[in-house]
Amino acid sequence: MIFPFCAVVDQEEMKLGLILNVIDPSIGGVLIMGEKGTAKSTTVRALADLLPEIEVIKGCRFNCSPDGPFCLECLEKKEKGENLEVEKKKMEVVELPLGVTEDRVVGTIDVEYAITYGKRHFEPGLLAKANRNFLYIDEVNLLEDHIVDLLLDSAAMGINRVEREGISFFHPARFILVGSMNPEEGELRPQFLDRFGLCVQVRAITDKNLRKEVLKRKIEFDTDPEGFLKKWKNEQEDLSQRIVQAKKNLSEVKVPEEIYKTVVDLTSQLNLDGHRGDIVLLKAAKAYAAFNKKDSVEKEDLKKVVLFSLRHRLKRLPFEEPEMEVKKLYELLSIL
Amino acid sequence: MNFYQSFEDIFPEVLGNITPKLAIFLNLIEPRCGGVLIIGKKGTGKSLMLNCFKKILKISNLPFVEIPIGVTEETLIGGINIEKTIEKGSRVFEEGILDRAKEGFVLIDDINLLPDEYLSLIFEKAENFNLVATLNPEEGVLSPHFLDRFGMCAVTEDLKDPSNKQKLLKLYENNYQFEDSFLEKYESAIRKIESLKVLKEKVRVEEFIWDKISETVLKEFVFSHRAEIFLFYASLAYAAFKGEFSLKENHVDEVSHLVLLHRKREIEKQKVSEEKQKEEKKEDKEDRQDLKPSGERKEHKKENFSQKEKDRSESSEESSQIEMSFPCSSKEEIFGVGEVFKVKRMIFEKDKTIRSTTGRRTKSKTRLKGGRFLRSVIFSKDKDIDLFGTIRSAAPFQVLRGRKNKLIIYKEDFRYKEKERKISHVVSFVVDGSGSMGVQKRMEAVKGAILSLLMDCYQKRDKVSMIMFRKNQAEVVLPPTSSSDLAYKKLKDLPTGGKTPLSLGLLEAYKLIKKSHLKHPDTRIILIVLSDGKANQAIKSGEDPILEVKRICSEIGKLSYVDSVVIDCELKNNFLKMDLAKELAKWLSGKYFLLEDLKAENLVSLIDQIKTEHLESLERF
Ligand SMILES: [Zn+2]
Repeated sequence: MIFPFCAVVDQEEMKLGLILNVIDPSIGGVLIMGEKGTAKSTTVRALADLLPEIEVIKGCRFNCSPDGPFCLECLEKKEKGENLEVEKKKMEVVELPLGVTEDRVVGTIDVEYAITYGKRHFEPGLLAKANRNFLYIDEVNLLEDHIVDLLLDSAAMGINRVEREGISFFHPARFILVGSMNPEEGELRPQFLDRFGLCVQVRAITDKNLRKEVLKRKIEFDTDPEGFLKKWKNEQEDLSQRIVQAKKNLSEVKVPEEIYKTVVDLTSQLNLDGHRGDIVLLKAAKAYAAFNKKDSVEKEDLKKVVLFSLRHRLKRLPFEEPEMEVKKLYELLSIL
Repeated sequence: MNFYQSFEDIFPEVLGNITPKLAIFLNLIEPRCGGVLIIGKKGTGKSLMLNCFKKILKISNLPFVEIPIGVTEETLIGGINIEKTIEKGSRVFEEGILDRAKEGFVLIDDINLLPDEYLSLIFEKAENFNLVATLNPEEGVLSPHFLDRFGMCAVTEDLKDPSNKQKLLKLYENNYQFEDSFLEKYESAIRKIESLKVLKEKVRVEEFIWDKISETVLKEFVFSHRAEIFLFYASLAYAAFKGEFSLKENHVDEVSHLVLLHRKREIEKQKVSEEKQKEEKKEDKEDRQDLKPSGERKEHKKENFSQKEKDRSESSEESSQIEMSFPCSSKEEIFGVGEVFKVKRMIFEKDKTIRSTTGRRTKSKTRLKGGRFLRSVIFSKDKDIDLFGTIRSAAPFQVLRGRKNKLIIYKEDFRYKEKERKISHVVSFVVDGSGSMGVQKRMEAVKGAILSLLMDCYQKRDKVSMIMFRKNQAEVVLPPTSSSDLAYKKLKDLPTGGKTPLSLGLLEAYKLIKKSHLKHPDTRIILIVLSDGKANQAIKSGEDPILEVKRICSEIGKLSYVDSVVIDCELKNNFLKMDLAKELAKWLSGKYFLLEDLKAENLVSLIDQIKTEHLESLERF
């Protein structure tokens, strides 16, 4: 049984960052920075559990969506004119453990099949499992470089291409990448940092009453999970509906000309490298507007998402005080 | 019910050590207590405690597994059984030992010797079991991230009570041959645990207890919510243990040390001590104003210092001479980081050149045994066969080759393991913070030099550690970390002032190096000593400080995995110049440089050079 998302106390920034990625997965994931024991992985799991089931092609090992893109196997079936049945599936949080091997990530040859039938057949890895799900990496800053490279490749393409052991295969690999790290335990490679759409900060709760609430809810959940879930059912369903609705409305949300201008003004004054910052900022604002049932993006929406869209792009080197840049950002925002 | 008696029952072989016993006992009553980390020096009964715990688990039929230090990933989390796979021709999976511990306990002796990746694997599955582990603080530490996962932490200590000591002696004399009488005690203890488990369910919790728990945790500046959750369950089990039906404040108080000991924050503690220092400084200022002009006062204090020194030891004439010739200021200052802007500009340029030429070269594919398995390859100079890769390549041909009951493997099927060995480095700074380093803002230049190195460590992903020595102490300001950001923060705040306990600083470095080598035998250590070499404070009173330095240096010099560099920070235009740092470098069999000659660039390339030399020697091997 999974702790209800709505019962997670405080940590609004993390919750919003995750929700916006569900509304628009092309935002590119969330990096959660924060100390140990701040319910990071609990929150991600809770969100996956909250969301309604997704439609997948029945029997597909890669969770292909009925609307595509398709894996090689589904494509073959389509070519043969077979009818692709649809079934519903709960979203999952696929965890990528530290020390994982390449095989496990991208997949490999199915040995049993090969021995019995004399044919090469692909056995899916974690990237297959993660398609249309959450891919969660705890302590992402400690992940090994060659695995990071694999992830960056498929995250950028949305496809996992496998050429190994005489196997030639591809399948869609579009996932919401969620990484967590404690910055005191080592930095993240800059290229990888930039890949994360948003970067949220989980703060330690120091208010006694809030902490008490965290504790009480956890113990209550431990002792009587069913009762606890029942208590939160309505709130959970409302939020779930709101997210689904926002996803539907996203493409309808208009972006006024002045918003484009504001985004570019803002980012050029901050000396950011590349365009990823601009794009993510706009996408996040749009998803936020959709979440709040608006039909066009306003400056207020930008203000709400700007910090976690740009935070990790502000600081180009270690040893710089990021506070300075954040201050500048706030100044810019105040004249918006 | 007698509090102490119950512990005699639960661990009849272990004398004393009430707190670790209590911690284990509470975990047996309430598995949600989250496990125990037992910390203690050699010979304080840690392993014995673990063995007794094992007996309890056996008798009460609770599942448990022990993790040996040389464990492999496959053994831990399971994998393919190669033999059976070959035999059957279909993939046979084996469960890992962690799977066998469901609803039970995982025991690890000397947890600090397990590599971090394995610890991650274990903690990832930790929802299914409780971990009881031991750790010898002399041999290493656990990162706070892992510490936080333990519900409780308890320290074992040497027996102080003479009657216990006598008992222990008798036990040893009889080779612990008391099994039978112990068994009875164990069984009764287990019965008791069972009854307490029932009682625990009936313990009432009132509103004020929640406040009490949150307050207790916050008071220690602990912010992990795990602390409160574990504290709650610990208190609950403790109330049951005390035979009470409602949870009281004193229950929380009496177990809070178990839950909070390993979570207390160093940073906060440091703040407190900094404040104290500030206060001291304030006092300094105050009596400066009240009493005399500052110059006079300083001299006065210096006299005092040497007077004390003389009183404490019967210092030989020689050493007192040495002491007199070293100017030693008791003034304490914090210098800024010198030449920061210059360094920053340089990094931008350097960044480019590195990318276009060599890239990060802290890695090499290596033919040595060990190292992380990267991929299966067809050609390899050494014959480390990748069995599974070989099966994979043979598999598709089995039908063709007419397999009956065993796999048919031809020569061309063979695959080998390509491994990546990260030649990682720990760059260990030993920084002289004595008063002489404050002269003409030497410390600023030193900090500038260190900063440029930190930049380099960040790019190469090396670990950094920092030891500072001054006054009569040496302190590990920064244990090995890959966060150069953290290192920078620490560097900025390093103060100077006081005497020069160089030997103590080097001894601390020696200990740190040994610890780090124990845990990561593949790691090279680059020791960088920044000092003028003017040791004037010995570890042992009455010893010649220089002689001490020489001895420790020769010990460090013997370690094959350490490269040393001495950066001489003495002012060379001074008539008091003594060139002691040069000697220091000789004793360490290390390289020697003058602070003046070292532009930041040179320092970085120097480190690179050391690394390349090392890599080359590996390739030759
Ligand atoms: Zn498919």
